[in-house]
Formats: sequence, C-alpha cells, structure tokens
Amino acid sequence: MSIMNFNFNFMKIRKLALTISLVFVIASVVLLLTRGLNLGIDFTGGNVIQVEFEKRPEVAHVREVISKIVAKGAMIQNFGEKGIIIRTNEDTEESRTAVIKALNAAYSDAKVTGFEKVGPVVGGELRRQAIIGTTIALIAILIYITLRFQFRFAVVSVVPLVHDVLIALGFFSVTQMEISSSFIAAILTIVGYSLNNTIIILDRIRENWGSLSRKGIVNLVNEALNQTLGRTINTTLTTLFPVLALCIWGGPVLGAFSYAMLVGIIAGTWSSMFVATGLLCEWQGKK
Amino acid sequence: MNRNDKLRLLIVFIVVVGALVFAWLEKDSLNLGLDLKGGAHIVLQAKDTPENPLRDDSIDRLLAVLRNRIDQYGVAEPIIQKSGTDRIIVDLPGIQDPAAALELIGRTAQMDFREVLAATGQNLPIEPQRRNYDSDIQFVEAQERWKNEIARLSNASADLVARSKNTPDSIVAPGEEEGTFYLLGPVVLSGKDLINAQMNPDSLGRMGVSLEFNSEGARLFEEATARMIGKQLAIVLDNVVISAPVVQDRIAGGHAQITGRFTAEEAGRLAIMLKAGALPVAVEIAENRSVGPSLGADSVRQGLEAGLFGAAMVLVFMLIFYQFRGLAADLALAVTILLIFAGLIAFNATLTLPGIAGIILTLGMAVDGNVLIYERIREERNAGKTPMAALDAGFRKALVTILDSNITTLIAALVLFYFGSGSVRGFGVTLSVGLVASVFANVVVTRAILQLFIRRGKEIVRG
Repeated sequence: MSIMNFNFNFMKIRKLALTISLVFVIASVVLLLTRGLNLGIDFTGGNVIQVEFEKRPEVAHVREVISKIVAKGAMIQNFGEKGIIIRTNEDTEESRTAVIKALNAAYSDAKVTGFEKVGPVVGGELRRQAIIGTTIALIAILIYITLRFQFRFAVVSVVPLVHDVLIALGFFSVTQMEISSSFIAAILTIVGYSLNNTIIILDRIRENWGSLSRKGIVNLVNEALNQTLGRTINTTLTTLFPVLALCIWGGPVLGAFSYAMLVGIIAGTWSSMFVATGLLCEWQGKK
Repeated sequence: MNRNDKLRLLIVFIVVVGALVFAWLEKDSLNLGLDLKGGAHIVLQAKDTPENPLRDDSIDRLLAVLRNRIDQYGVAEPIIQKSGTDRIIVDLPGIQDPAAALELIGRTAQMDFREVLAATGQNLPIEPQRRNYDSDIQFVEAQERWKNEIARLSNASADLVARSKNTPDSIVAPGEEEGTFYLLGPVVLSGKDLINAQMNPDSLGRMGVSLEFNSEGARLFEEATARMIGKQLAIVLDNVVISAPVVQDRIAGGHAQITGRFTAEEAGRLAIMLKAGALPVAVEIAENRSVGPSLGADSVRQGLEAGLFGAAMVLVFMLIFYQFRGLAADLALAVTILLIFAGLIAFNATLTLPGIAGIILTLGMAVDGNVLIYERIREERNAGKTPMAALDAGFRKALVTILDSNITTLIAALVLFYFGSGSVRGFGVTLSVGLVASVFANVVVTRAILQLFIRRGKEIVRG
C-alpha cells in the first residue's frame, strides 16, 4: 500500500457522511433511552456466581432450582464450555450462600469457580467515577489540543469522540451485552484510539495550513486525508488484527471488552476521516 | 556514523540489556491480578454506630487488627489497604476457602464476660409435621400447642427486654441455640484484658478456646468468680451468648476456658480473632469477589493465545508491506513488549485480564509510529531526497505527530489510572507504560536499526 499515491475526493461526500453519522448517533441515543443498557453488578450491585459442572444441566432447569430462593428474576447464562453464570440483583452475602447451597443440593457435580458480590454503595460510586473520569479526560484533551493546535481543532476532534462512545453504547444496547467496569476501560481506549487517528489527520492539515487561502479548506482537507490514507489503512489493520483475535479466541471473560473495542475502532476510523474533517470544512467554510 | 547516531545506538543497547537483565532477575515479582491467579477481593465498609462511632483513627486501628488476623491465619502476600476515608480493601490471593476468610475478617469479635440475670432457658420446639400424626385432628392440635409455646417463649423474651430497661447496663442477648434469650448484667471483663487465646479441646474432647488474661483481667476474673459462685457467667461474642457455664469455684491465676459448639476450624478462627483483638468499629462487606484458580488459568490461556495470534498477524503484516523496514518495526515491537513487562515490574503494577487485553491492543497501536515514520520517509523520497536525508526528515517530521497523538492518548490512560479502581486502574497503568514504551521503540530503536541497515549499504528506503 505504500507504493500508491491516493487522490480521492473524500470531502465531496461530507454531507452524506455527516448525515449517516447523525443517523447512527440518533439511533444510539434512542436505543439508550428506550431499550437501555444491560448494566452488570459492578454498577447495580448484586451477586454473580460462576459454576462449573462435569455435565452441564439445562439453563431452564437451573432457573427452576434457583427460583425458590431468589425472588426477583435471576439471569442465567451458559459460560464457557461447561460452566454457567448466575446473576441476581440481591446484593447480600446470605442470598449468595443460599443459592450455592441449593445448587450443591440439586447437582452433585456443581463446583463454584468464582463469585462476585457488589454492594449498592460501590455500584453508585463506580457510575460517578466513570462520569467524572470521562469528563475530566475530555476536558484535559480539549485543553491539550487547543494549546498544540487551535480551539477549532479541539472542538472538531472531541465531537467524533462523543460520536464513537455513543455508537459503542448503542451497539451494547442492541446486543444487550453486559457492561462491567472493564467496559469503562474499553470506552476510554476507544477514545484514545479515535483521537490518535483524528490528531494525525489534523496534524497534516496544520502542516499544510499555510496554503489555506490558495487552495481552500476542502482541498486542504482532502490533501491531508490522501497523504495520511496509507497510514490510516495500515494502522487500522494492525490494530484490528489483535482485536479480532481477542473477539474470536479471547474467551468469555474478555468478550464484551473485545467487541466494544471492535465497534470502537471501526467507528473511530470513520469519524476521524469524515466527521472531524467534515465538521472542520463546514465550520471553516462559514467564516 | 556521527555522534548522535552512536549515542542513539548506545542508549538502545543499554536500555534493552538493562530491561532484559532486570526483567529476568525480577521475573517472579510480576504481580498477577486476582482475576488471573484466583483468590478473594473483599472491600469492607466501616459503619458508624452509636456504640462504636467512626473516629479519625478508627480505620487505622481497623487496618492493624485486620493485618494481625490475616497474618495469623497465614495467607501468602495479602494486600490490605485503605481506600478512601472509610473503606478497606483486602486481597487474598490463592485462598481455597473464601467463605472462611470472610468469616475471619468480617466479624467484629467483641468478647465480654457478663453475669446472667435471667434466661428464657428453653429451646425452640420443633414445628410438628403431618406425617408424624395419625389424623388431621391430632396434627391440628399439635400445631396449636406449638403456636402457643412459641407465643409463650416470645412473651418471655419480651419480658426480658422489659426488665432490661429497668436494670442499668444490662442487655438482652440471644443464645447460640435458637429461641433462647438471656438477660445479662454489666460487663465484668472484656476481650481487652486478654493476652493470649488458643484453640484447645477440653477433657471431653469438645473444641474450645483457652484464654489467658493480663494481671488486671486476672484480678477482675477472680473477683467476679468469687462473687458469682453458683450463678451463671455468660461469655458473649458479638452480642451472642456462646456459652453460659455455672461458676463452680473462684478462679485465680488468669486462665479460663470457653467451650461452645465449635468445629476445630471455628475454634481456631475464634482464637485468632480474640488474640488479634476486636474490630474497633463494625464493618459491612461492600464488595466481595472470588475467582477460582481454574477459571483464572483458563482466562489467561485464552487471552494469551489470542494475543499471540494477533501479535503474529501484526508481525507478518509489517514484514509483507515494509520488508526490511518491517523487520525493523518488528524488532522495535519486540523491544516494546520487553519494556512493557519491565515497566510493569518496576512500577509494581498488577497485571489483570483487561491489562493483557490492553497490551495486545498496544501491539497494534505500537506499530502505528513505525507506519507514520515509513509513510513520511516515502513522501520525502518521492520529493527527491537522498535515502539518508529522507530518513532524517521522515523521523523529524513524524516525531511531532507521534508525540501529539500519543500524549493525548496518555492523558486518557492517566485519567483511568487516577480515577479508576481495581482492574480498570491496572489497565490504565498497562496502557500508560505501553504508550511510553512504544514511543521509545518507534523513535529511538527503529531509527538505530534503520541507520545500521543504511550503513551496510542497503537501499532500504525505496520510494
């Protein structure tokens, strides 16, 4: 790919691209408001019990065994090859002990391989941490880019981040995959990755800024996009390889994390190439 | 080769050899998170109660007592630390029985000796079952009797509560057996005056704990037993009467034995708790995670396999697209991985499962720097520069981009480290270390390697 020189007119379709992004973002927000997220016990409080069997029983049967103990609906899923995972909203030690006792009574081959209990206070705190952390990170990034580039660049590089995070959340709302504390890590990595992409394109625009009056903003942005296209393709591929490997072979514990990264990388690459640049063209053109 | 180039080679050499030696010597001190090696992670929340209000030093005293208990219980490399103002995190790697550990650290273990003033003194009768009766009428009658008995017992305990209100310093406490209640007088002796406690079966083979008091405690105990001959002396643990023997004789010398319905393990834990002292404040279990060693091992294996496969694809891709320069990038990537592990050891960081995912991701992003540099060099060559000049200009111009893009990501990583907790924090450390390592590998290591290639006369910087 390094042999080619590109000359695509990316910015010709910027209005279409921005509209597509807007549709995705609005769809994600609507999903978040109506369907919501499947928040794990890290956020809601509750008990999770992982059990392994020599011969795994049907989920429905396990549900019946548990239903006598856990009043509210328990979530029961297959986990790995011979395990199941049980999630309840009751956040007491007693509730967990009772569930384990019932499992051992019903299945002689049940072995508890792990459990988690999170009290209600911790969950609320984590939500607060996530919001404060993300806000501070975004403000710090805005300040850094304003210092190194200019304020307008800072704004057009933060909008794609919100875009990526909302789309990743929308994806999790559609699939109803569980959101745990490591999801926060995934989201912030997506932010980092997408930002990295955007900065590299903006950096090239900054470098060519001198010819702005001669070429106009649209040509300037197109030039920067084409000059960095080889890098964008190659880096996206080298980052996708390990993430795809994690999605396919990474095992159930890393599953949600890996898929969040996959969606984030795709959304992040798109938003750097079209959203950040498209917005810059529109904004600069207004002046 | 000019002075700068020599210096760069020297730096690369020193850093790589240094990191190799360091990582090799200290390879055992890489902390694996509980999600990888199994164990229990427990967060205790101190509670403000009227009897034991939270004070400035409460958490520190709590910490000291917990350390003491856990040390005596014998857990390898426990982590016991303060979190915020009123919480304590306890990490117990590799323990087999998390429930027992929880019992050990979560109990207040406040022990008192009190005089028994009155007791309901009767066990709760068993609820009648239909199959034990010949007819429905008999069964209904039995149920009637049972209900009356329960009502009488609860009246009796209500009576005790009423009497307790008129007796200063008295409490009503349940017994170990369900349905028994005691009205207890003021504290005659408390766990504070203990100097030793040991698990000790009595002459009948029942498990018990033998106690040894200091001189003050011995004096109080002797006085109390002298005064109370023929009466019951209750041993109260966390407001439950564990036994209430009748005092036979005055006991001097400061030794006593408590016997209850213990298993050997329970008696052992009780002895540890009594010796380490009571928790200064009541605690609540805010968070409790336990991972079995097998689950941990499975996740590590899957994470590593996926990681190795992903890394291999990155290496091959770079070789195919950039040939010689791809080789340089691959070597730089190897240096990055080495530096990440050395860095994790040096910062005493804990490697968690999201951390491994972070490293795998870093691999993909680490070659970004190389890609940037190579694409830059290509442009400079297209503009007509000689290989050496193109190399120089490529590195110089790409450096600004690499720094700007990595610093912005580093900001996000540092925020994760600062605001996150547990495994998220571990991920923040891993990502930060990975970013710094990859910038070094891109800018310094790659350049040193490429310069060596060019010196050997290879035209590696083609257009």
